[in-house]
Amino acid sequence: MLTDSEVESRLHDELTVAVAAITPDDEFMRSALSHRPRQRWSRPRLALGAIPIAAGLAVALLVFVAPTTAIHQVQNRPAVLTVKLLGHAVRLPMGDRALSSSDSSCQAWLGATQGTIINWAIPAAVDDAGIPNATSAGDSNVVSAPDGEQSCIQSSISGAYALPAGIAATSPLVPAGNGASPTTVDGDYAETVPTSVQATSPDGSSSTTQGTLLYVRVPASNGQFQLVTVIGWAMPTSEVVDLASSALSASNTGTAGSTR
Amino acid sequence: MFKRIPERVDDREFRRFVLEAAPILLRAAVMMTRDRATAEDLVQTTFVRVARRWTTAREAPLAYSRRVLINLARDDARRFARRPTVPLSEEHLQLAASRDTTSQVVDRLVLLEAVRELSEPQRDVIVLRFYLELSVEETSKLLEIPEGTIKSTTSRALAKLAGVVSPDKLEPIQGGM
Repeated sequence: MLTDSEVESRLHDELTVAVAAITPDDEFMRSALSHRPRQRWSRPRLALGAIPIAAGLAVALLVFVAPTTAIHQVQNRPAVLTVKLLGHAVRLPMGDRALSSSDSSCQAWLGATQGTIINWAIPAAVDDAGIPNATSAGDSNVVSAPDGEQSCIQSSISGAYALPAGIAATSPLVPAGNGASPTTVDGDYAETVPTSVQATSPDGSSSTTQGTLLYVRVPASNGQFQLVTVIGWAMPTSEVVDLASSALSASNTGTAGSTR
Repeated sequence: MFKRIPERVDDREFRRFVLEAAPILLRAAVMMTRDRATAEDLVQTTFVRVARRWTTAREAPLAYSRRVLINLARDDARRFARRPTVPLSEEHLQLAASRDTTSQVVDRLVLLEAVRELSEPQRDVIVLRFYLELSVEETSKLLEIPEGTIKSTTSRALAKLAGVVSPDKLEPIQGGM
């Protein structure tokens, strides 16, 4: 007979597994994300006082900001529902669309201009066998969510390299202490690492954007491996993993992937 | 060059919260309610209420949303005639006892069904303590039930679920039911 604590422990484990297959679908998430939190100034006792301020701000926005903002908006463009990752067209989550422009690189999107120093939160060096240099030009995409929030995702893949003796396909990629979390992408060992980048605009203002680095150790021919790097800026980690998984799946099957 | 469209900090925080909390709340709701459709409705209502009270909820949004969800699930249970609470059926126990190649899938379905078959207080306690991993004290505060009652309710619920959780130890439990 199991003890109470054993039953409790097993119950927790089995409940977790039992409901793991229950995941919110696209329609559910779209609805959930459509709600907007009420702002502090909109509480009833402040609402009356806030009306003139809001009206003033609205007028100011229309007069001064709208013309400036308008030139940056992407208008009258067909919705692009895929992004290019690792050379493959990968379908975006429901409602998202890719923005196209003459310069839709993540670096430009982040506001980084020529001469700007990007401060990576962790060293780019990741692999145990000396870092394989990325040999692909890499893909970069700016993505817009239904609520207007923008994010950016980019990818690259290294040349084939051999693992040194004693290093397995599932050995850690990122040095300890960098907050890496192991995961699996399309069956291959991977790690996600939170990161951030600080960019300074020409006017001197700086901003910090959070991102997720995803490294995947992909088997290549002759027992060698390639290192896939995907970086999602202002994008949930799960979405970065989903998109990368679709791209790698497409690589394996030779078809375009889907994130859902 | 693109300029990022400014976004309210609260919007970003709320969006992050929804992405993180949706699967957790949905899974808890599925265990606590009659079916998935009801569970989805309750979780959406939870998000609406959390959004309305974001100024308060943003300090601990998951804890706040858990409380809202529990209250909604209780209201829902009162509104609709509940199925009569019955002890685990012989069919459940036989299913749980069969350890064929599909046993893991069967076990999980049986476990979920068994949790749903518990009485409302027992089910809430099990979900809060063993899925959402709340302590006895936290569960007591959330359900507004004394800690001693939480413990005794847990004990009775575990006794009912023991046959499903440990199918290979069925004999003594079957004898007692």
